[in-house]
Amino acid sequence: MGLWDIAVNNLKRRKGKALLIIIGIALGIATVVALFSLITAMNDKVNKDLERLGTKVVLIPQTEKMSLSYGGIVVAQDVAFDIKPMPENVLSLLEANAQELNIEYILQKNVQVVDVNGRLNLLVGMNINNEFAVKPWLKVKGSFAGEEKQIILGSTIARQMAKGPGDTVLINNQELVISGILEETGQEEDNIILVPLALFEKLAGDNRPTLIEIYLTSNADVGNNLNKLRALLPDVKVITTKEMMEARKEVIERFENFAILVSVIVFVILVLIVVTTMLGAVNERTKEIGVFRAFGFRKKDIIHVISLEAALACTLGGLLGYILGIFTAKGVAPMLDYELSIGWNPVLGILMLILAIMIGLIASWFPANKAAELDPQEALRYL
Amino acid sequence: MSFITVNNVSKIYEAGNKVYALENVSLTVDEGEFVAIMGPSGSGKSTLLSILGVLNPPTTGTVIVDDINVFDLSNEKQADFRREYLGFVFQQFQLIPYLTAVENVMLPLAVTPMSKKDKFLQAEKALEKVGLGQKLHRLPHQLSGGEQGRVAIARAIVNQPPIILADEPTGSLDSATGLEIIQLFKELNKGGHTILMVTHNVENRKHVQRTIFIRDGKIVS
Ligand SMILES: Nc1ncnc2c1ncn2[C@@H]1O[C@H](COP(=O)(O)OP(=O)(O)OP(=O)(O)O)[C@@H](O)[C@H]1O
Ligand SMILES: [Mg+2]
Repeated sequence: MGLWDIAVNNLKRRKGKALLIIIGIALGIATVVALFSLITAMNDKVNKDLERLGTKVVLIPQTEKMSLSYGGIVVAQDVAFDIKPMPENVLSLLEANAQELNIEYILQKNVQVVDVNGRLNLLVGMNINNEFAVKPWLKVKGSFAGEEKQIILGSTIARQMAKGPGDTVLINNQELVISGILEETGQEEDNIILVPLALFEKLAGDNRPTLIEIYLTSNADVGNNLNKLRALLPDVKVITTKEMMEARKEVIERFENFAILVSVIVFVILVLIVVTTMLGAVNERTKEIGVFRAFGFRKKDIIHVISLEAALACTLGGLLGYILGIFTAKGVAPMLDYELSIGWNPVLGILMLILAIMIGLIASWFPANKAAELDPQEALRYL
Repeated sequence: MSFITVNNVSKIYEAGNKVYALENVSLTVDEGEFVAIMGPSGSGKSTLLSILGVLNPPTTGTVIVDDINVFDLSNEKQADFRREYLGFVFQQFQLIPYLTAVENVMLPLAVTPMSKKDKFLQAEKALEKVGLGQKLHRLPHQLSGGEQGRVAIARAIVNQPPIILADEPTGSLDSATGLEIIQLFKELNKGGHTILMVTHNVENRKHVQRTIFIRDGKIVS
């Protein structure tokens, strides 16, 4: 029998005393485990989607002065109107090499700053049907007015102008009927006016693409294809964005920050719970500690026993918490919108055990030292 | 030089108003003696015993055991000294409730470098010596008062200390059981242990070689 046996037997035979610690740690760790399991699953899901949906590439003219932003790029500098169009042959070159470059979609975008009801706004001409096919999360309130006449306002612009479907706007002094309003995306689509390419040409007097979005097939070797693209189109800037996924990743990141915050709070609360419980236990065991001292335990032996007990109880709590947390995550996952698969993550498990042991050791430091400093005579005087 | 020498020891407790628990107490005890300490409640018996047990430093004076000035030792060395020289039997025995009889007896060996098996054998031997070889794995609450006393004595002798300090070991027992415990102490004394025992029971005087009387913190005879 040694210090270990004393600690184990105390926990084993006085279960009630350690129960608060074990339950507290289990619940706290379960919360942390559930949150991080969900986050891991979400990240996995996004990465999988990223693979499935392929990579988006944006081609823009080689230009320095730009500032209004669309397509992940800056389009006009302090409302500099002069947006350079793409070289003439880009579209045909892309179409000719689509197979070799693993291109799935080519989306031409014509962009110009126009006067809308006396204000400057970004007019974007595009193949609207293709755009909506590629970006299924875009939703329109209003009716389709036929491919040529469609004018769709971004939600921010619509709100600023207080316009809805059916209202008219003046674009470059031409009166036009709004056919739809985009639902808020939280992205750059909120700040543009979408029109079909033909209408764009009528309004802006130009049919040359300002930028081209390309979607690569999911099996494409992105780096290799980008190099080929750059070689093929030396006068064009080639940028990849993974904007949709990035938006989702950003949400996950925010969730992750939240989880870290929760974990820190949980950690502090658990330390406090363990400190108070252990202090109570030490006070209750004053006599017992006096007996230990009388039988030759050194101060460090007392500290050893008390911290060992706390660490053991916390380890047990951590283990239970991990199991509980995974099951909680498995239960909660289907309620979230993702097809999440929650797994038994051994790294997380080990991390949580380390965390639990750390809580035990940190929290028992003060009570253990207090126990060691108890005057053994004082402890035994009311015999 | 005597085995135990208490030299002009005073103890003043300063919790609120001063309590003179011991005043200029001097005494010597030879190796192998069985000494009773008697006196009215509050006279300072437990205080004297705790000072002899190196659990409580005197305000002034010295305690020398086997040529060691015990209160000159560092805190850790005092712990080692207690383990080597002293065995305690407390009033109400103070067994650890979550340890079995044999585990309680092994307690003084917990921090000694020794194999588990040897510790167990040594504890078993001590329990056999006090006649409790059959109830090794009972928890304290599963034992009678007399049996608890025997476990407490086994615990006090397990590391074979030369000195046993007992504070009213029979106080909570009926007279027959108390007598059994006193007989056990007599046997241990015959085996070579020096024993100092605080007791209220005048009957016990006839079993010991010497009785020290204390009143108001002073030795009266
Ligand atoms: N830690 C302490 N702090 C303050 N006063 C104390 C302390 N320990 C003992 N005393 C006081 O010192 C005096 C002697 O106490 P002690 O416990 O030695 O008496 P005792 O002879 O053992 O009494 P009893 O027979 O009741 O056990 C008492 O007045 C007691 O109140
Ligand atoms: Mg007393």
